[in-house]
Amino acid sequence: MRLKYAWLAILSLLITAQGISAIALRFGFGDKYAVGTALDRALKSNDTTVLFLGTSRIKYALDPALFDTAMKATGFHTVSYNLGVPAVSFAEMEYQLHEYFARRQCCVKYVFIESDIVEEASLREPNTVRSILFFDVSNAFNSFTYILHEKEKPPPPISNWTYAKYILTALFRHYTNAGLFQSFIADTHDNFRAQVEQNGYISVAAARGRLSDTLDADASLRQYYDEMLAELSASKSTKHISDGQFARFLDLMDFIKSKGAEPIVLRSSQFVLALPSASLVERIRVSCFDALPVFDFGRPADNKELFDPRNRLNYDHLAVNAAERFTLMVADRFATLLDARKGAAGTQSSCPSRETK
Amino acid sequence: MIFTDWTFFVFFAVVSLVYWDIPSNDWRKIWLLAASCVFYAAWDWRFLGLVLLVIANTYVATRALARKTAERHRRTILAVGIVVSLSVLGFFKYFNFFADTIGSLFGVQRRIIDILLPVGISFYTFHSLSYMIDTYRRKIVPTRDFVDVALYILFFPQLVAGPIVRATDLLPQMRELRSLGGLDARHYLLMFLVGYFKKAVISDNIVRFVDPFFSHPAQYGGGDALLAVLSYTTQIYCDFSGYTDMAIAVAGLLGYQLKPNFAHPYLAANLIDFWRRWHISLSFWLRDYLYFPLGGNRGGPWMQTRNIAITMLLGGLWHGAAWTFVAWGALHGVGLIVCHAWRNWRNPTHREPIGYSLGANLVTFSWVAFAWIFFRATSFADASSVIRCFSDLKLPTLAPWQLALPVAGVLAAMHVVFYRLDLKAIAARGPDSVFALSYGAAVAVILPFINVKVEPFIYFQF
Repeated sequence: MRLKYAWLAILSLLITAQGISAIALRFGFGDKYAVGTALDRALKSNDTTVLFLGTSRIKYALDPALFDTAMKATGFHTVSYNLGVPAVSFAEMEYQLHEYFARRQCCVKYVFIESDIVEEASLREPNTVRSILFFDVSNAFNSFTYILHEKEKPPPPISNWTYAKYILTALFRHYTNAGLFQSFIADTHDNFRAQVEQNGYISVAAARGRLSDTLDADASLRQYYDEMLAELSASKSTKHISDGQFARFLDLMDFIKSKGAEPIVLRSSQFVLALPSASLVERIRVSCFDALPVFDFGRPADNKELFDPRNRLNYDHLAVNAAERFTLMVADRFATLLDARKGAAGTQSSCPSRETK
Repeated sequence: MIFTDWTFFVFFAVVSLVYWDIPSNDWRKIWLLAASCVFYAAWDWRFLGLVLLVIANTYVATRALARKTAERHRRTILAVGIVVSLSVLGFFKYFNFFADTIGSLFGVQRRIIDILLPVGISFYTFHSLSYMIDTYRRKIVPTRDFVDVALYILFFPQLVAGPIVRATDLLPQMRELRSLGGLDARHYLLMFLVGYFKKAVISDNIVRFVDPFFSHPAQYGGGDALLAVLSYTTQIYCDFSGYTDMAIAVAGLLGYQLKPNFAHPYLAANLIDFWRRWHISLSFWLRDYLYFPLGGNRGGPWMQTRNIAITMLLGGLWHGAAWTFVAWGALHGVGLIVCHAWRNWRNPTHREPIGYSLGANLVTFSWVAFAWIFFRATSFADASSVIRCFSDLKLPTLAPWQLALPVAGVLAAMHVVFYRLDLKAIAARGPDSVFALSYGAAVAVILPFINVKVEPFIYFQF
């Protein structure tokens, strides 16, 4: 009998919490929710035909306005939007795409998706607004099942139990709002709504310093950087990601296709956690290169300009001049792809690996 | 395991569901004892043996006191029992303190051994002492049941930070089967929520004005000092009284009644009044087992002054093994001595001028807040830095200065609102379904404001 009242109290708690959450979001408490903010903004742009998804390497480097101008110069009309989110996890990208296509049925023809599929900031920071708002039951389940497949995890390594604990903590907070206001105040994440964006792109023009300054000051760092670049250029290993991860990635590609858009894998000039990206691209190359276009800017030997420390803000981010150059390189490669397709059969064959899986 | 942590909620849900399902009182007590061991072991299982040693000593001493009638033998038994329990406290709590003090006198910097402080040691030692002394004084007939003694000392709601329950209060309750029908669950649930609010919302959030300041007081000015001291005054009250509310509520939900430990202490008119409102179980313990045996106010003003000084210095040392705690005790001792002198000197028939009561409140509050500086500071150098800050008249930098007003407002509201609030009457209103719905909604309103980083209770270190 008394348990009946306990359930009643829990029900009251959950319903009231949802009301509070809705009011809080309406009054701007979601500003630090990068995933939701980016999505809301992207959905306001009605004519988007090209979407870019990825981490900060995309967010701060791919300028849609410049991209569209470059495409126009080659005779193609595009309206692009940068839906990048710093340190976006694979589950967050899945969520972004499912939500985007659920709420906007038309127009997007191409989705560029960055090959970095091992970022997991939201999974390791259960006390942030981003995690509290993201981890509903569905996203928690998707994130955890992906983690179980993940072969190489970002350092420092943590156990699956710890991931489960973090996700459960965020899940509990999602439905009860526990600590939401405190997280909002103390959260060091950026206020994304306050940032100046142009079609989702955030310029790093104001950022000072170059990676070359750091490397010039310490010869051992310079040596480490050069050695890592050599390793990255030589890497052809497919073993840094699991079959499960690859299958999950291909599922997402299939989802994009099912919405009438074409996925294009974009490997940025990634330095940190670069080997899993290299493996993903290598697997695509081995199993379904023709079906799934890959724009690979991640091999230092082929992209010396992008990996030049004088063109980088830090190990992983391009300076503004290199960001512009990167945007033009992507546009050039895209125009070449579209040119090659002119006159060719319009239908795409499905990825062979999906049929033999 | 902290009362505000989700692990405790799971723990308590399991403990209480099983507890109320057990029909036999003996098995219920065994279940509670097992749960208390788990609760304590969650802090550090290695110290469980230490508590069991204190329990065994208490049981053996009280049984021996019950069997012996000769005063000489009884006194010896009591002395041995007290020495054993105090040795545990002395070694684990004060070894480092005395070693450091003696070392500094002789210029020796390095410790021979470094002793870890077992959580709750001051509290369970006092439980043990009061039971042995009350048995010696024949205030209680000691129980033959070892489980009762073990549960009296280990009972998890009051194990790590009190209230310091007397055996005369708790042991009789253990003899009867607690009835779920007679349980005022709504009152205790509401009390738990109030305690949770004080701790998780106020104390854990206000700490952000306290810790940075007391870590480097020399870097701040008068505005920050005022904000930090006022914040700490609020924090320690909400932290400790919040813990006590939750402890009383948890015990109450298991059918055991613990006495209140706080009565709006910052509304006290003087320090004598303050100690009747702050940590009541400790001040009455010190009165009954230290101040009175020393002679109390018998023997004239000088003896009373001496006894107050001894009691408050030892009371300060009980809180923590550091000279700053002794200084805190000394400040309260001086204040109490002045209050007693004032009371003796003043004509009791004299009519107080208008505003006297408010002025007395403010003076008492200021003295208490000032003394907290020594309680919180980790050294005399830090405490003097804090005091020096007040001479530097600067606006706060820790937070916008306007925040000082809400901090003061919170403290005032905690007292005034809860002073007028009759939780028992509020809890009794309306049918159970309405209470359940309101309770759930109230929890939902509180949760967004909590600090997600669960801070340990301040008094756990004592």
